Amino acid sequence: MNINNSIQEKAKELLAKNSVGVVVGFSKGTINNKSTPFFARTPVEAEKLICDSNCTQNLATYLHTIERKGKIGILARGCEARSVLTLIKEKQLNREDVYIIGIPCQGVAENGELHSSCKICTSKNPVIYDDLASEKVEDQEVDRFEEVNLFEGQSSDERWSFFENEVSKCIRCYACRNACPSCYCPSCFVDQSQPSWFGKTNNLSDTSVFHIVRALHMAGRCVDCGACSRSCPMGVNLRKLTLKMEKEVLERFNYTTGMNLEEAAPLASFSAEDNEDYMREE
Amino acid sequence: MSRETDFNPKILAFLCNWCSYAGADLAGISRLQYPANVRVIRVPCSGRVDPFYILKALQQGVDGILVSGCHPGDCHYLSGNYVARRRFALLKKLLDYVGIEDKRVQFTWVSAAEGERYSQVIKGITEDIKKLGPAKRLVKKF
Repeated sequence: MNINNSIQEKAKELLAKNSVGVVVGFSKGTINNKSTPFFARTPVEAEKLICDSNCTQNLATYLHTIERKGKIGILARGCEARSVLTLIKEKQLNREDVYIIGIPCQGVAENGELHSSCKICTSKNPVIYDDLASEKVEDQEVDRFEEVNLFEGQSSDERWSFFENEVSKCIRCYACRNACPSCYCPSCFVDQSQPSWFGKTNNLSDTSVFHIVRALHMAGRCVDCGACSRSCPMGVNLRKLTLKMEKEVLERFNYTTGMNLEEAAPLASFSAEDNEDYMREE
Repeated sequence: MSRETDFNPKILAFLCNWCSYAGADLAGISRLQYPANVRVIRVPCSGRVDPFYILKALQQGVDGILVSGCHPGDCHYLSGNYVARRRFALLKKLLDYVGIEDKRVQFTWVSAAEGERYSQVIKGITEDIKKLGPAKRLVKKF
């Protein structure tokens, strides 16, 4: 049975039995090779559900905004399952309120090739699920931080000019923020006017600060699904900063985002033995 | 005259009320000498210092930033500086990563009894910033 049939069967059954009010998934889009997020609320609608390599959004994003009638069913690939787990951990969602149909994933495509975040993916199988749509796939062994390490090897001037160049493309549309399941603050720091921390224009300094703070807010919360960079209309290399944060959080606090519910979030906890290597030496 | 002596940097210091600010006070009442380049802002705890404060200051053209709190284990609020230590580690590493000079933003611990150390820290950071020259990166131009 192919995976779409299996998803549709499972969704139909859940909706028919009324055990969920809605199944969040994808359906075929209106243009070729694009899928669109789809909310199936009846067994008939469930026949439209699909999941393939053209499904580029992270569905966990819709969990905060969706109209709730009963439990929410959601299709979750490896990274989406980690996002859902992160939301549960951050108390944005109760585990009982969501039914997770896990989908072992082979990656999503962008412009005909595997997306950069999928190339270094080490969690293709969902870590949390109620039901699996297909057999698990094999995870790959890969150095996730090769790109970060290379970049760190450059001089500070080179890094700054790269950063400035990337940031200068940004038009502050906030598509990256809206595509991200971990960006759910009712009022984002860039929208605040009292106090108004940073300017709202596309002034280079303000935009740089936006990207720095975005990365900081993602530290220990980003699952590197790549939805932000796929949604960016200007092709800003957003993962450059979030990957660095992932590396620091792993090396300093031995924490990987979205892997289990028990472990305390790195910035909500501390250890007396934390590394002080960055501090001023006398 | 050389550039080093020409340049008088503006350095912003966030000092926690319970240790570092008292340390600065001790340096004062002990008549210890240190450069007058530093502007002190008193905060309740090093944990109160939001990365926003640091980034905003850099945007406004401050040449150097120092954040100082109680030594680990001595926080008035028990764990404020531990939490801050994690946050600052990430901020510092990220700023370094995007290309802000390593010594531009610095963190340290100064206790209320360390007036001497406070004056040493200020002397040291002023020298560091003089060597780096005026801040250019991240400064907002209108």
